[in-house]
Amino acid sequence: MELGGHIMVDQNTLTFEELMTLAKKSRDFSQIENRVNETKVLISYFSTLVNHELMQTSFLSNLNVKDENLKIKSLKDLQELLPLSEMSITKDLSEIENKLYKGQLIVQIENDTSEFLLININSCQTGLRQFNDSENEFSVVGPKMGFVEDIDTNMNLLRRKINSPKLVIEEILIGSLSKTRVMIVYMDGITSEQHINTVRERLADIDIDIVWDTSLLDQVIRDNQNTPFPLYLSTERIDRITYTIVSGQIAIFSDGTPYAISGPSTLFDFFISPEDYYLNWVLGSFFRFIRIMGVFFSIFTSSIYVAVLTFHYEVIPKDLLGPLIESRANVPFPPILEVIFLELTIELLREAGARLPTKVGQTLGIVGGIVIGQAAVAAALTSNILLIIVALSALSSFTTPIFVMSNTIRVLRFVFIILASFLGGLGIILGFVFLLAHLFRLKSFGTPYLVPLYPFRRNALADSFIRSSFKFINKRPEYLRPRDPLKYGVKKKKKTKGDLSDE
Amino acid sequence: MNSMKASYMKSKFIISIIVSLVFCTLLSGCVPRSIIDELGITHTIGIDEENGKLTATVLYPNYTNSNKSSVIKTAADNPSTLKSNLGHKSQSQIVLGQIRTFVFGDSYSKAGISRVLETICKDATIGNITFVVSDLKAEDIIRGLKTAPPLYLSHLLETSVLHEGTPETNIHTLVSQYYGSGIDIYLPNISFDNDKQLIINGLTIFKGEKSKLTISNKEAFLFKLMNDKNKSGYYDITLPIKDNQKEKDDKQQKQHNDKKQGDQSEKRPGNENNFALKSLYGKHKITLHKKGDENTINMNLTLNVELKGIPESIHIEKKEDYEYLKKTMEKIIAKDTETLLKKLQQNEVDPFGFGIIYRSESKEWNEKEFYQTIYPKMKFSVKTELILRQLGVGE
Repeated sequence: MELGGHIMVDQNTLTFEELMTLAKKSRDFSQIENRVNETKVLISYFSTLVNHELMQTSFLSNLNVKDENLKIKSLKDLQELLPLSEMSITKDLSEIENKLYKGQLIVQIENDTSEFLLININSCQTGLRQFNDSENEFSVVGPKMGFVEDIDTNMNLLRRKINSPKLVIEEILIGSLSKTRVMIVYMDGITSEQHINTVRERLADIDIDIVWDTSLLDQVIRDNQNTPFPLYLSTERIDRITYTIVSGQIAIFSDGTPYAISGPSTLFDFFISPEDYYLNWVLGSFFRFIRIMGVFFSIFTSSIYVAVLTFHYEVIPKDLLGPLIESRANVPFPPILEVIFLELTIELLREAGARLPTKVGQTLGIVGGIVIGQAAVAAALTSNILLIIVALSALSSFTTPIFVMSNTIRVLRFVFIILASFLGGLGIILGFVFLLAHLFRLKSFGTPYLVPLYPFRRNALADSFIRSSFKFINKRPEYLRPRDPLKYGVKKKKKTKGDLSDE
Repeated sequence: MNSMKASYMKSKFIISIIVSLVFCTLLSGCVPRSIIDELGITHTIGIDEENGKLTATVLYPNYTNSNKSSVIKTAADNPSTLKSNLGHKSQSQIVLGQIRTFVFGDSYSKAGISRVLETICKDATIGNITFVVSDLKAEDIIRGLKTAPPLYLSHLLETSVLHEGTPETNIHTLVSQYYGSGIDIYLPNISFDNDKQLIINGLTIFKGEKSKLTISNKEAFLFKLMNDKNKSGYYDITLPIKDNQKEKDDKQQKQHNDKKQGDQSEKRPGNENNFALKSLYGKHKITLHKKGDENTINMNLTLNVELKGIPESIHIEKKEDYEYLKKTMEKIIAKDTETLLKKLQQNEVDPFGFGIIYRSESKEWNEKEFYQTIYPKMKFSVKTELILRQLGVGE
């Protein structure tokens, strides 16, 4: 803390000369002296950061003034001469330092050394991808666009989606070394003031060297540091972020990453897929319900297998008993080892698949899945039924649309398996009670995580387990405390008695 | 100060977690592991009485090797020792958690089933099971099942209860009848037929804990009609010939038909006037009517039936024939039921639970007195109403 304060003071007292000597240590720093008629102009910049073409065509060529009567007396005169839009005159040294390292030109004239003209001709698009498919959160129906690494492009994409003066984008710089631009995006007049302040305060409190990703901000500002659950929705999809912002949440973007986080989120937000809204509500509800069932299936099946086969043989349906025993007949391990072995195999496959290049990864997935699975059964290391259970529960954990959440679910599974191996069904229930107690206590920006189940909010249930018709989900969720509770009005259709042809 | 308090709270929290984990491990010490493929899981047990000792015959399927079942038999003086003795005779621990059927042999059910029943009631691992009685030795039944699939007996009982008109019984009904006053135990009876085929052979009714009377399958179905919610099953009816003959004289064409029929009946096997009605669903109501000393049990049954293969002499599309058929069948069922009730009364058994009905309508209740003085004098009146739902495709 003390050290950080010291550095901060140092930076503030840096003079322009010191700044220049520090910059001159780098090879890519250049200074050129130019003359506009009589006046000497000193231009300092980092050659690696500026757009050279723009510099030649718009800046340097305009300095060669033909009109000999023109006198440059102040920076204002120079500013008028140039056909560039992003220029500012400042005395603030910290701003100069900042902008210099972001690729702006710093222009001085000899008559007045106290002021500086900052010209933005940086090449911010260099090295960034043009391609913005949302690869990791794919959806079949609906837009496929996602955010990119460049924050200005992202804001552009967002503004094009929400075309309203209410959309407010606040910017702060975070990171003592990276000076990353972090944007707080919300809807003025909709989002709760209290939540906006919380976000502002928490972001302002951050003291970190480099902001690698928004997930880092997520981890630093979250309400509970020790939970495996993600407390803020993290996504690269434009439509998803737009939906959260419009619902009254606050989104946080940071430069250099396509992922944005938004909060306050609830547990249910993580099982929402944009497709739920692009499909008819009946289909949407069905698929969402399947997804939520998948979560329970994924967490509990392997552990129930262990519990039942180790402790509770009584509960097996009589017709399943034969197949179960037959499949386990030659397996030399107790069920717990069998399950752990298979679960770890699946985790290894997943981890290897994620590290390898796409094409190799796919092949490995198939080869590994089929060959290892078959061989393990043939070698009597595991039973067929378990293979199916584990594969299905892995499959259902991937149905969760938010990647972070599906990771959480996979980790939770192991806890339950181990509990089941010690205490059987009692262990599973014990784990479930602990899990519920933990979820009840979680908060995201001060909002309960398990709302609308706890505290119970009947109105918000319409868009939780199921996705009701748009007629019923026109209100913003109460727990976000929106200042404007209505998203859109619903006109009641007049029921007219018509004859058959009215159809 | 504040941070001190916070750290104190934190350490307290950690300690509480550790303590609860320790308790968890302690608890886990008490849970016996029983890994499924290391158990001798049995589905069927037969209990007999031999030379004053209890014997148990256990059929346990060997799922791990080729589905061959093995039979173990032991004897002991009490049910608990019986279980441990079984363990001595098998390679794996014999567990009762997957038991589906208990077979009580003739000798044992006549001597009283209370001891085994009370032991079973107290075993939490035993779920919903069915009990059957046999007129043979339970051991013979079990040995006869050795080559059958492991759950053969259980499936046999299940289907016959669902479709074939055997009254439903399980541990719940048995226990409530055993401990309840004003009702007697009834259990399905199984045995082998002449071809060594396992069959359900009616219903055995107990007096107290001892078996007393066995009624036939036909009677058992009548019992089910008046007692169970599920009324599906077949009841075969023989139309009285006399009435039929009278119908014949009515018309010439009919005579012609009957001639034809008469010719055929000589050739065909079976009784031409005998057919089965298939009971679909219905309602029964049993009420007690008291008038001074006279107690009358009124039984009302409304039954929806399906008729198939009615005698050719009956032309169902004619109203008179239809009415005749309906009335006759109603009469036959009512009469048969009354006969059954009288039979039960004479044998002093009460599987219907008339005692419970009586108890609910009188201030004083004395089980002994009821069965000694009131029940033998009870009168019965049975009314049935049949609704013919499906008659099959006509010509």
